[in-house]
Amino acid sequence: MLRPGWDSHSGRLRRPREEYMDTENYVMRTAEAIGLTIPSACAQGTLRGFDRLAQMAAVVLAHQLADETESAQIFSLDHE
Amino acid sequence: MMAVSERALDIAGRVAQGELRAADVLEATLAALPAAAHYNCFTAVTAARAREEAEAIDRRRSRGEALGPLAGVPFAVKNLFDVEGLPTLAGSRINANRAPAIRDAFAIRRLSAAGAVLVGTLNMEEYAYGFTTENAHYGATRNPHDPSRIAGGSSGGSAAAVAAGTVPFALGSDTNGSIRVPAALCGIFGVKPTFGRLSRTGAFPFAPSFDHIGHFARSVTDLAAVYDALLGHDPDDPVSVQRENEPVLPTLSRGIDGLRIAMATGPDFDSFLEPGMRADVEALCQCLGATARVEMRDAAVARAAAFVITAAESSNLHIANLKSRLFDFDPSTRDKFLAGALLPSHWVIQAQRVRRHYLRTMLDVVFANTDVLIAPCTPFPATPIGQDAVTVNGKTVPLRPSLGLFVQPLSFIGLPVVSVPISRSKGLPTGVQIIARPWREDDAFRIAAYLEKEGLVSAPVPPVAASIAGEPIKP
Repeated sequence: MLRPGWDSHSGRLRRPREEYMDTENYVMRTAEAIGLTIPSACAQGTLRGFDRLAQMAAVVLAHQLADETESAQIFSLDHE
Repeated sequence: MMAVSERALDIAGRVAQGELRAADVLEATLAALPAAAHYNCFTAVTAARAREEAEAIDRRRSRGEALGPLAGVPFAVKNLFDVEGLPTLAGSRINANRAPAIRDAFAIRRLSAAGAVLVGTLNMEEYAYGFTTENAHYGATRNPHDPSRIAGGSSGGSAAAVAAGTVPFALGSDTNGSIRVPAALCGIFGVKPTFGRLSRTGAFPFAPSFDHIGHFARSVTDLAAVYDALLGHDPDDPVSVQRENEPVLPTLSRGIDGLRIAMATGPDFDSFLEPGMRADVEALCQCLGATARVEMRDAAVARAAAFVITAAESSNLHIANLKSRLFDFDPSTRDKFLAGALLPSHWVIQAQRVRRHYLRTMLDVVFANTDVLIAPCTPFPATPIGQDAVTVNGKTVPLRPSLGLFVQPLSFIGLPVVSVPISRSKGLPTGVQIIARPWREDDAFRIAAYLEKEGLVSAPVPPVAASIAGEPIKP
């Protein structure tokens, strides 16, 4: 399930912006919550990086799997 | 007399026959390194240790003892491998403060046991996160075919050192394409084995659930000989599988009879590949009699999932330093780690589900009727150092992530791949991937050997680099 506010196709936040946190707020608040400081010198690069990952995640989330409850266990080819 | 740039098995054969001393091979190699510094491959030279190892080999030979298959062959390693007595840099400034490694990485121990002589460590992208080896701390590694251009990455120092003829082979690592991309851009052979085949113990991790080690060489036989020397289960690496050693060197002469070979196609393969490079791939397929085409339908989603998992796993490894030493990171790596540390967990977990689904699709559908796939390594040849964007077929895209377009969907599910170089008489070299089923590296090696024998793939040392590395060894 997507968190309310995320658009599964674009990977970006749904509009209107005021209804939900925007990307910058999400990035800054989450960083603060886990004890990371994002100085102004890093902010633009971090936001750009997060936006790129959000676009990739959108592709992943839009992909239909036969079994959405399948385990995401650690990858191994041992038994293949 | 021989040139420094000779191949590994030629050197080992002559050392074993007593035509050359390992110490002489080593001194000729060390003498060529200062001139090769222009390419910025090496970050440390281990001359004292190498001299001890070479002299030990010569003493063993004089006593009539058997020598290993790589006796006296100089090699170097990406600087994420532990080398006893050196801090393991992994391309970073932060790791320069680490205590020196107390033991060589497993792979180096295997090669030393085979008689190879370690001469140094090699430049790379910081923490292996990138495809260009433009390292903010240690400088950009230059491509021996055109020093104004990138060597590719993240194992750029390893690829450039081999391509320039300074060492016959080098170790690298491949998480999203970090062996195959620089192998292609530098015009040499590379191998990324099945996930779990070769031990990673003592190799600094990047994204542990798909980190592989592998290596580069200038011939298929050298690539195979080094691969065979590296084989062996290692209980210290949790993903190292317990299988019988399956050496590939004895299989190289078998030809390609019986192998079902197909060319990979798909939206990205069709639209985002320079026309000349597409012709290269088709020429290889024609030589192999491969008329079948297989559409890599979900390659884009596989690549997207690889990006997400890579960001999450790699960032997790560096949280402490992101809090305490943020400005000691390479700026381009730093911002990617910061972004990756903030990913919602369901993005990552869903990416893992996609990974298992994609693996099943590849095994049950693609490899049900095919033994080996042929695909390009990169969409374009080496670009100028410092370039950020590239235009292919009229479309301008960011350069760095685009280099992984054709390689990421494969390492993502751990498939074995041999990268073969296409040397162009005019222009820069490129590379083609030979992709096999899990644990069937032998199939990929057989095809590489066939193509080399037919003259379609080769890794000549560029003339300028050859003049640097070509000083004869005086026995």
